[in-house]
Amino acid sequence: MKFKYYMTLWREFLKLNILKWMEYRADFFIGIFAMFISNLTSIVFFWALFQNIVQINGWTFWQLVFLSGLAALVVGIWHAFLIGLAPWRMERYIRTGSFDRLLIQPVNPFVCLLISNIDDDGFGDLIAGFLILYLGATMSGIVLNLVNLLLIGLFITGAVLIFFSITIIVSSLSFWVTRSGAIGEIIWSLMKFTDLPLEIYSPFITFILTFIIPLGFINYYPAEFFLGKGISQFSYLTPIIGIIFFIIAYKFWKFGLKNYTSTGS
Amino acid sequence: MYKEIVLTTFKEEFAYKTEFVMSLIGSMINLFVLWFLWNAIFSAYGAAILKGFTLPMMITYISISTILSFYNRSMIEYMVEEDVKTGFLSVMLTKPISYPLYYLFREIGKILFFLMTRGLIIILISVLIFNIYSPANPIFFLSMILGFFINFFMVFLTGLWSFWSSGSIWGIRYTRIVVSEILSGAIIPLYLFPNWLSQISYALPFQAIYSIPLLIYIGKISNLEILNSLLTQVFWIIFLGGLCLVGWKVAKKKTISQGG
Repeated sequence: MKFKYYMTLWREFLKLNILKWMEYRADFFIGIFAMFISNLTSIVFFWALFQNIVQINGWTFWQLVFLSGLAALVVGIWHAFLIGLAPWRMERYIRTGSFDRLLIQPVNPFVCLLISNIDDDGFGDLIAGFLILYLGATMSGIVLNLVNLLLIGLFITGAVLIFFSITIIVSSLSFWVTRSGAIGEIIWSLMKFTDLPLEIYSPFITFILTFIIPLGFINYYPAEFFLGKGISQFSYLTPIIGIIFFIIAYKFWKFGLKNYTSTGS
Repeated sequence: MYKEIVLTTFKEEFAYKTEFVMSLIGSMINLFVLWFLWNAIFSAYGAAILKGFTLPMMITYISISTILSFYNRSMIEYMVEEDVKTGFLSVMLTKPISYPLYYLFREIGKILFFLMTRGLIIILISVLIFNIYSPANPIFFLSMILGFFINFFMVFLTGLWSFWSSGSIWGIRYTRIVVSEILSGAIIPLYLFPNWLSQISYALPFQAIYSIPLLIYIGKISNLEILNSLLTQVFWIIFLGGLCLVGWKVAKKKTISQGG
């Protein structure tokens, strides 16, 4: 069983990581704290703003918190468990040659990079994400019953897949170009758009964030759905787009890997 | 000699072309998001609700804040950490150059390079697309320079942390960035904070880096207030500069007596 084998590996790596974290305990807590408060910037911004106003385009403070919470949790899950394939890490693996060493090991390099990297700083994002999402949901009147929890779980999974796939595509560029890490910065810049409901932007930007770089499906369309803000045909699509996008991204990665190994550079 | 340091940083900066473009795109996206946000807000609310801010004032405020926020990205903490960990610090101490001044001039080089390149592009785009106006009072430039020094001292102080901690500095650096973003008026004018929080912010040095020059630029504060603000900035320069000198002396002593 391949899957069981990888789960065992993941557990072993986790044990090693925990030992490392406990060795540098101050770093462990400072890192988590730093990532935690970094999530509060946009919340404090909205909070200060809503001391003066009551809504933006029909969105209340807590609804915007819910919107931010979805994105924060998605990024948190990625940061803690999927960061092994981050563009800047890929760039380093390839430049230092560690990636070549990985290729001669009897594991899928894609899976290996993922399971060997568990980032403790991501826990700060993760905790903040849960907290912001929980507060946003309950305060804007979303009933957290079993059905809704399952639905939120499903949408979050789809959204994580979308975000993960975007990072995979940028990381795969490492097989051709050397500066993929810097290019990866653009993902974080684009994520800035998820701070606000898409309808605030121009139709052109909304179009791009829906059909070209589907960041809108990470939080805006799901939030619209849960907050009952008029359900469109996009409301249910997040999980499906996540799966489709992941298949494309993984194919692209495979294609880049093949290209990389055959040129031998 | 210090001119050489400034010129060297120019050359270093030129080497990072991809970073240059990506960081420019990042700044512009950030600015556009805020532009859409404030437009949406001002289409529903007037200046009376927003503490006397008008849409052009707010757009000018966030555009210039984007320029100033380059201060916040200083890498000095990482460099000091690297110097301490690799032992390069001991090499630096044998050189006929002051270690803090070396980094001060590096930082001046970086900011000058930024202003002449990315900063200029951001200003041009802001003028052309967002129609921002020129400084309401030329004292802004003086205030901006004073803010630069306050920021440098704060960053150097956090950098000194490396002398006492074996751990990595990035968590501390990150915390400094987040706190100064929120409490400095860089992302939202302190006027819009509830009273108790703006009082706290006014008591901290962060607002002297961003809020004061920005309010002078957009013409939100009158002559007397400008004078008070400048005095506040001078106070923080003396206070934080003094702390830096003391901190550096202690750190240097620690290094020398322990043999680096």
